[in-house]
Amino acid sequence: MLVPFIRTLILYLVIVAVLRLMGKRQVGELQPGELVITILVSAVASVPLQDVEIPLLHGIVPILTLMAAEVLISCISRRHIAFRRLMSGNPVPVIRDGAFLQSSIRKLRLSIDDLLAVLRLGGYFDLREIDSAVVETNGQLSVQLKRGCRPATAGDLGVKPTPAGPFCTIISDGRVISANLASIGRDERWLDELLRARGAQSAQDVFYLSGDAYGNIVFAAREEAR
Amino acid sequence: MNARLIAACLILLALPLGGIVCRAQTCAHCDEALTHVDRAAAHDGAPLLAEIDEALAVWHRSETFFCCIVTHEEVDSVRLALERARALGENGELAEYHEALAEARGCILIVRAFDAPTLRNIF
Repeated sequence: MLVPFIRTLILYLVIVAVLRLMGKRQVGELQPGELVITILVSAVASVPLQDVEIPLLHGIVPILTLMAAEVLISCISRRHIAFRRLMSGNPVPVIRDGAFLQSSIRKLRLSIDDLLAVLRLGGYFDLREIDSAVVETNGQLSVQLKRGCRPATAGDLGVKPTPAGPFCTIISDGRVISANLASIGRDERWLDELLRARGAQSAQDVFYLSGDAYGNIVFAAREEAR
Repeated sequence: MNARLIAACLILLALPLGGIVCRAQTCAHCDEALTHVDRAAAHDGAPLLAEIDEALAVWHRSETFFCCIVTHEEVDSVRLALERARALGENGELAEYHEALAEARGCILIVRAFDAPTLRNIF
């Protein structure tokens, strides 16, 4: 019982460290190489995890090797365009000037149904509105609407929007996050005044509070526990 | 060069170097055990139990190391074969004793070849 427990802990720590070293891209948008690494890491880790007869090194060594190789390959890809093309491929346009590029669609081994499904999933139901669409190297579809069909921006409407910066969580479930308070240029005194104005005695009465440097606030009082 | 790239390069250097060190250790431990087994096997007269004890001592000493790099089944098979040879050397037939020694030798050779970077092992 103790042996698999310790092995699981060690492998867990190694995988977490490897994913952290790979960066956030690994979790979100995956390039083909990254996807393979992610799949392989989990597969390799599971072997010594399930069988205590197999040395732990048989799991750790491949994981570290995969991670190091991925970092090196992504570094080379960043510097050399040809290598990047080799590893990740090129974005492929599938609609241009409102017309399907049938040879590209065939080359991608996509059916028209596949393409229409992806477009619908993206919220594009009327093909007449689409100016161009590109299948990106991570397999996602980027769509540009025709000029007259794009959502109007504040600039188009001649409206000056209220400035709003990135919101920082100031109180989370009754706990004040002082670093975030300072990052939006506020202090404890400002917070006390704000809480009083919102009818809260202290941070304990607040479920969630966030704000930005322009004074915009999102406030949610804590509900009484039932 | 960022820290991530340096870490990757260090890992890619350290892993093969570690592999080479492990390989050298594997060969050294196995050769030491084999020397004793071969001495016991070469002796035609009464079984040289002291040599088998030496081989067993070498194996006990190296067991933790071997379990880090070789499947535990292979490591255990050598110990069991040596223990069987010892038991047969004490109470068994001479022919069976030599058979058990040959088996132990074969098991040690399997462990010795286990992490060898040969084409057979790689592919």
